[in-house]
Amino acid sequence: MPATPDPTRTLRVLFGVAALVYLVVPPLLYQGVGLRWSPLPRWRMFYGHGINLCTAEYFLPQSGEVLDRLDALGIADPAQAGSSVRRLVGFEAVYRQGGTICRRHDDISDLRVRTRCATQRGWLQVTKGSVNLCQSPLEEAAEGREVTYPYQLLATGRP
Amino acid sequence: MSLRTTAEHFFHAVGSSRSSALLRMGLVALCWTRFAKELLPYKHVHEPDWLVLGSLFYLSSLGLFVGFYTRASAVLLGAVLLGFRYYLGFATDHEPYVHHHVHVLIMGICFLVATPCGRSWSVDRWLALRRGAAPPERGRILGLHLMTVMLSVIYLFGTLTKLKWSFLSGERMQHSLQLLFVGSDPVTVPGWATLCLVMAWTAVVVEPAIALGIWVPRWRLRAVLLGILFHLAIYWLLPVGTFSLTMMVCYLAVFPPDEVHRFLERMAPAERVEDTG
Repeated sequence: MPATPDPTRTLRVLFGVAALVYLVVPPLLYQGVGLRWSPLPRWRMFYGHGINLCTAEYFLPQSGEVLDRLDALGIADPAQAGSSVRRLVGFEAVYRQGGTICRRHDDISDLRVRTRCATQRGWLQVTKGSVNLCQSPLEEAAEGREVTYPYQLLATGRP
Repeated sequence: MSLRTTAEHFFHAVGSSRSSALLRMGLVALCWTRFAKELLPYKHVHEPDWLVLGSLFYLSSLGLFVGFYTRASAVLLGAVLLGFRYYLGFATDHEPYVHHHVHVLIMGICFLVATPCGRSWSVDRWLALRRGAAPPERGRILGLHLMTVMLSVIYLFGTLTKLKWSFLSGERMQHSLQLLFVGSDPVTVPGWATLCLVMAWTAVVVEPAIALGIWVPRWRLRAVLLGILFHLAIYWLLPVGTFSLTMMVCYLAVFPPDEVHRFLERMAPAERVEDTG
């Protein structure tokens, strides 16, 4: 006489297989195959963390003096600087902070900035300091790149 | 071990319920930490979907924590949390609920359904003892095996994402740490780039080591200790919310439940407390 199937065992196997499929297949599709469908679970811890943070080195082209950024903004104690002042996310924030420094200091008519921004491909040198922030519009200040992430070179831009 | 025996063990093995019970309480406590404040009813007076899901969350999580109608509570809480992810998260665009911090908690709770987590340290057990019909503290432990798979999947796919030049060069690590600790000033600390490089390579070596080590009995304890150190370091350095703690709680699932049971008995042998009153 054949053994009668145990429905509990069958249910357990079904649950287990479904769970295994749910665990393995979606991240495989998203991260392995490259199927970018947002409801698919994936495990990319810190994948976007820090992206588009820009470092800014403001300097005066005549003397080559590199400014202390917070000091130039009139902030004596770095602990008192707000997050958006300390962390410049995106080149536009770098540009605006440069503009603030220009306005605060009558004696600064030419301010340049060397900017690197965090991208998925590593640091990207966005500007090398060839444009005067005090007198240039945002688009020009980006030195031939798009002003937003991922800062692609414009067709007419300088290398 | 043949494939058939392995599958039989994976799906149908029986073990002590104590590690499942600890997982039950640990994961629910983490759920409360992650969700409870956001689901307070006064915050959603005009959002009936949030009110309903929030109420069910409180009800089911309390039931699961104390172990009252434990399996039903686990099923309900798992369903509610999946509702958080797929309805509130994706359908109503509440981004935090689609995050992997939330997803790992959801998976953990769902897998509790396939454990005997209500057979130890639970109201269900207390009631059964009062009736004189308490079942043994044992049951099928498929859920623990699924949690172990989940841990490996997380580490392996986490590593896969890191296998690119920007991470292996340490630059992505610089981005993360610089965002948190330095801000937008160029870093002038000597050895900064080297430190980030070492940290990046540590991550890509440690994660797969844990993913594989937890399956090998000889390496299991070392893999878990390494994982705990790894997650404590991350917990200390980066804003990871409940993720590190959830992973550490889930490590309980990688040990054979009977070993955990024996360990707990050695740590706290039953002693009779004399009434001195």
